[in-house]
Amino acid sequence: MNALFRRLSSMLTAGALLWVTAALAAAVAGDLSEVKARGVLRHLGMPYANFVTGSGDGLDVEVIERFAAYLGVKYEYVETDWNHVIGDLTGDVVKPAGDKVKVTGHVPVRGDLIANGLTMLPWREQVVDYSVPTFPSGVWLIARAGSPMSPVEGSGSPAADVSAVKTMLRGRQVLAMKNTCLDPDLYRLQETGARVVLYTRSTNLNEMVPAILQDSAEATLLDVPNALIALDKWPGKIKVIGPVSAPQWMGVAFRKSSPELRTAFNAFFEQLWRDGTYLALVKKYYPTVITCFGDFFDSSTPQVAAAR
Amino acid sequence: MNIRPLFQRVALVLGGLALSLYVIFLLSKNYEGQLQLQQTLQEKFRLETSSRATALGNFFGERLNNVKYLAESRELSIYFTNKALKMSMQYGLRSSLLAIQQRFEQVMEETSIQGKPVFDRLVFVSVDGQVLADAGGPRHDHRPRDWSTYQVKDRGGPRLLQGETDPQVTIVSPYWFKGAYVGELVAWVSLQRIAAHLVEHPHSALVHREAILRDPGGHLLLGHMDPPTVGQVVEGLAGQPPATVLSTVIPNREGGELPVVAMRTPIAGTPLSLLTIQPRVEVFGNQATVLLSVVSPGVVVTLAVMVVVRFWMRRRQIEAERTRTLAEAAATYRSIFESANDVIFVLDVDTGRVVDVNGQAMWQFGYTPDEVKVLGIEGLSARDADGRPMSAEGWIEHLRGGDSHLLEWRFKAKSGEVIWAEIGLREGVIGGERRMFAVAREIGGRKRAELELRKLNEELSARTEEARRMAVEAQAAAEAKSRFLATMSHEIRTPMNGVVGMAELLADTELSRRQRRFVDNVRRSADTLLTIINDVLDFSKMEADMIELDDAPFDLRELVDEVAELFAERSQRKGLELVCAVAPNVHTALRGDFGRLRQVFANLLGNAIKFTETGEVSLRVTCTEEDELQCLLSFEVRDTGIGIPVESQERIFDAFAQADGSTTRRHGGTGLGLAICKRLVHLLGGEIHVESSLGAGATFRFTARLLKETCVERTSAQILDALRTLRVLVVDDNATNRSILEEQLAAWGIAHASADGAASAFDWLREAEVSGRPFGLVLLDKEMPGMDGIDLARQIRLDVGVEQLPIVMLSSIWRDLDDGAMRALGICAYLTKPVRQSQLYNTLLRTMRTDHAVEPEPGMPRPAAHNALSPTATGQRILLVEDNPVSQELGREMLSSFGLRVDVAEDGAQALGALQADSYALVLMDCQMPVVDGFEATGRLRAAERTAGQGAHVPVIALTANALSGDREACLEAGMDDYLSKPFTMGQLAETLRRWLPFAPAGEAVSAQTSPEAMTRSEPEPQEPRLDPEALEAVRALQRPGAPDLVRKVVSLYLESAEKLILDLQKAAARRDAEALTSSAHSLKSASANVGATRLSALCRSLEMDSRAGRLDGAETRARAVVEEFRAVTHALGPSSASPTDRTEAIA
Repeated sequence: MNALFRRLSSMLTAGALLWVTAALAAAVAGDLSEVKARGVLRHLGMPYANFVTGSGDGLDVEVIERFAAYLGVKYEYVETDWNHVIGDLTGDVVKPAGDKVKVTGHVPVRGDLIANGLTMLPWREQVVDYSVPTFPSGVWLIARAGSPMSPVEGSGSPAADVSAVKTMLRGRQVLAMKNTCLDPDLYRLQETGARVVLYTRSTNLNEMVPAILQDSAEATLLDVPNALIALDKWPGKIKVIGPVSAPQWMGVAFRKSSPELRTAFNAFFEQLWRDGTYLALVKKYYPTVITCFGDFFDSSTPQVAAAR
Repeated sequence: MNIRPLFQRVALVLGGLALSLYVIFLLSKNYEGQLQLQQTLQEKFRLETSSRATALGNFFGERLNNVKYLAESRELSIYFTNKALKMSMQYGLRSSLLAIQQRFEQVMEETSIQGKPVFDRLVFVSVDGQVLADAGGPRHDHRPRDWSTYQVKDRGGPRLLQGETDPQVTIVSPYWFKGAYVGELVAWVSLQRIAAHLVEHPHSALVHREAILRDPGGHLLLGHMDPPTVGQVVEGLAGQPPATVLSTVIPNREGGELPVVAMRTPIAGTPLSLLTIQPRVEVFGNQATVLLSVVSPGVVVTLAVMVVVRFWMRRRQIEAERTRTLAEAAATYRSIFESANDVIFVLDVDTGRVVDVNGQAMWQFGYTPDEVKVLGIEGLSARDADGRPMSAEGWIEHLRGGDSHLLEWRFKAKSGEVIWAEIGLREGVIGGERRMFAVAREIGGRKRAELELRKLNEELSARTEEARRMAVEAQAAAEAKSRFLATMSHEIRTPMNGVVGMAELLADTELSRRQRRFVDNVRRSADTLLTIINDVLDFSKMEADMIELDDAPFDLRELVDEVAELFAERSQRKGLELVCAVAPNVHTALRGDFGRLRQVFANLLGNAIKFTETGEVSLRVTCTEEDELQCLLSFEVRDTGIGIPVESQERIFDAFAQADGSTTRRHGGTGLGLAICKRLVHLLGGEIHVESSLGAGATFRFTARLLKETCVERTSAQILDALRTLRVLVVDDNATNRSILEEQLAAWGIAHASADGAASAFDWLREAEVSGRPFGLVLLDKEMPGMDGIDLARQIRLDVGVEQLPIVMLSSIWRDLDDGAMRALGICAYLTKPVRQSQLYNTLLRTMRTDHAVEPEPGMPRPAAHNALSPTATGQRILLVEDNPVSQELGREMLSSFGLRVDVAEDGAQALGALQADSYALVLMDCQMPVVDGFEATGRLRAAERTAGQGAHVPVIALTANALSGDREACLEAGMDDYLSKPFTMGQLAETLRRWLPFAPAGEAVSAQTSPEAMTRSEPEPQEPRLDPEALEAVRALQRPGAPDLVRKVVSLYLESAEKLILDLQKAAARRDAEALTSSAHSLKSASANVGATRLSALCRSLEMDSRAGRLDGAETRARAVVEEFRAVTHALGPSSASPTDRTEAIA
């Protein structure tokens, strides 16, 4: 038994050593030097609003392409989906539970960063590091035009407006999507008495409005950039009831083991912002957003403080 | 008489009048045209102005459309939809409003004139007076607005707002959503922008000043004009129908008046009108007035009358001047007419009547001018040859005939004398009448001279004709003679062939001394006769102009050496020194007819030897002049013979002439040789002459111009490289020989010294030892007074330090030393004088390369050398095609004596049959035969070979007694390979056969089944023994007591080196590498000779010769034969060699 135990313990020790080595390697892997050595920057993304349009362009596509050029490496787009995007970046399969997160497994790392209109959420910040905020956001409740829910009048207090919207939700069917910024748990929708309908047909957030127009639900959660596009696409068919979240920001996500890559991106992004390139890109993909979020875009530098 | 001027004057006045009327008519038409132009320009002004007003109307129409489309835009609709959904500004509605704003700004940007926006401002005002979207306003429009004044709130579309006095046009468009009025779209258009557009409009050349007025009052809204001026014009136009053009005057900037035209045109769809004012001069230009049109004709008429009067006066003046000039000319004419030395007739050109004649007629003919007029030309002229009278009609015809205006005429003077005259005829006008002028000049003297000349010419022609006839006859006679000579020579050559050949064969048989003397006499007589025939034939060819020069490359040095060798024996027999030298700077690679050049050399050298009893004969070649392409060479043949008397020197180059009769008898000869030389030298582009005096020898010099052949000359650099280190001692008592050898050595850059005898030679050898510059070689003359060459060589061998010095022996007599003796003396080569330069050169090279073994003299005649064919060539089958029985017999004997098997065919047909039935190594083909001649037979043979394919080709050698030029070409053209002229000697035949019967390659000539083994077997036993015991004996003689076995050592070294050489030889043969094969065969040849392997050496030598000449067919087979022989030699050397079996196996 002793011998067996010794053998087992030595095996375990060896396994542990292997794991530590692998973990260390993973920790080191993917940072700036490796990207440069590899000569390729892998951009994780999926079609979402005008961040990644799905037809080869998009606001984030153009930004990351420029970032790759800035680093002097080739750009490579790696398609993923909302369920796997974190795992594809970190190698950890995670399960958010409110603001907490649980690692449930490991998968191969497929990319170096996520740039896909990824909203900065507390649980996500536990597993990835964000860049400075790159885009303002928030989550609105969008309803069909014929919905009896009446849009809130802006009171000037976001908290009051969120409260007013949630008050209306009791008994209403609200479409949401897990693991995204439209995750109902993030906004405690269950507590409002709303009948949450999870959209599972795909992980494409662009399909939320068409879903409510086809009576999948009366209303849907929708992030602000996407909502502005939807208002333009379906005028008179949908209406914005009001906010369900406080103002949010989006950013580019990095592995926690890629601090240098993140620092490099922040430096690059500040340059892109200062020389006006970024604003021009935003105007190209979200023509009306600048007026809506004038405070965010009027600044001469990216709003680091706003994110904190 | 006065009618003409009057008529002229009336015509002039009438012409002037008509011109004036025409001018008036033109001017009135011009005036009328000007009025029409004025109307047209006014209409154009009206149209231009109207089109401007229309363009403005369209412009405002487009702006109304802009506003209409904006009011219908999606953005406005979305905003009011979302508003109706009660969306709040904060959550969604603001972005809809922003979209409206962006749309307005987009329209502002998109509607522009020349890069500037058309709209000043676009505003959407809601029903409650709030501005929802405002583009352009904040930048340009700071005025406070009462928005209610812009809200028309009706159901009409966009329209221009009435009643404003602003320099802006306002467009309003009420906006209704779901049946309710929700706001107003207001747009402002800047009139300033329109003004800029109008002024800069590129298509408006006429329109100059424009203003936009507010209807109906005419308030000036836009335009750089004084309001009072505008008021004045508007007032002038008031009450007029639209599109009326007003002509008026307005004040200009200087305070004066400016005539203008003006027009006011309403702008459709707007409460505006366009006022256009333009200076009159810009519209109509500078037009002539009516007054000018009326006055102008009067001025023109007056001017015309003045011109006419002036013209008439000038004309009168000219006429007076002309009359005076005519009178002076008539006087001058008369004076010249009368003072001329010739008789001048003036005749009526139509009738031939004499109108006038000058006083010279009295002097020439004895008639007064009046008598001449009465007599006329007919009465004054002599009668023609037929006795008919001659009249002036002949002159008229001659004048009109055209070609020449000169004719000769015979007049008869009053005295009855006939006078020859040359008459020059001309036609002219005097006093308006056509006249013929005839100037008669007396030419009696000239006529007489002409008659005499003609008589002389006739005589000369007769004589020339006679001379030509005689020349033709002479030429024909000469050609006939030449043809006769050629034919005769040809007929003689055929029997001569039999005589010469048979005598040669007879000489090779067993004969008694008496018989041999007879045979020798026959041969000499035949040789002499042949020489004479050749000369006669050559000369006859030259006489008949049938000589043509060949053009082929050759080496002059070799040619000279060859000739020297030819005469070596004769000169030696007479005890003469024969010296031949080519100057070092002579370019020896040349092109030309070397055969003819050799003929001249041979002739001159032959003569020189013939006429010289003691002393020397020399041939020297120098270069006189040269350029890149050719050179003029000078040849000098000098002898120390009997000489030629000065008086004979001119004659000796004439045909059939000799210095004198007695020498002719003593020395024989046709006397054609020098004549032939002279002609040949002329053909070669040179001159020949002789310098001589009786008893003091003769020097013949001639030149020849030859083309350079640059590609084959051996460069001196190569020679230098090989021989740079050598120092040579020349020992010869003859100063000429020494100097020639010195020249040659110097030309090759070889250091040398000369000695005239043994004493001097030893001095030099000692000097070399002391100075540390030893000699590498001695060139030693064998025949020297006192200590001769042999003794000297022996002495050198005994001397310390130079025992091993290689010696090359030079001799005027044939080699009389055997190899052993030479080897014992250390003589490594034996050369017979005169020494060919190439021979000397090769000997030097060989001496430096080899271990000084005795080399047989290259090119040295050996007993029966003429019939020595290669061992493998003997025994082959030859077909002799010949119709003449003597020639058949001769040919068969000669060929058999070479060891060849001979079949004879009597004509071409038989030959073709034989060739079909059997295979032959070679065909000797007579050209002229009955049935089928040689040309046709060869042609058929070649055709058959082509049909059979497989590349078969039997060599055919033409035999012909016809030595005329062009024969050789005809033979080659017929497909023959070579050419042998009858009569030929055995040597010539052997030489020719050697060219075409090389080591017979497998399958071609000997037999198709020949294998290497069969080939070896089929070879007749070579003449040489396998091992010459003397060679090793000579080595053994050098054995010192107590030293290792020298023979064994030599044999061992030989086998060792030979193995490597044989391997090299096999490889070179397999690669068909001629250079390597030559080199290894040569080395093996020398090494084998050293140990006495003579058969192997001979095999190597023939292989070397053929590969050097590029003949590589069968090289591998022959290399195998060499290996076989080497095995046998190794075996034969047996006891002396070390493990021979191993070696040969390794090699095989």
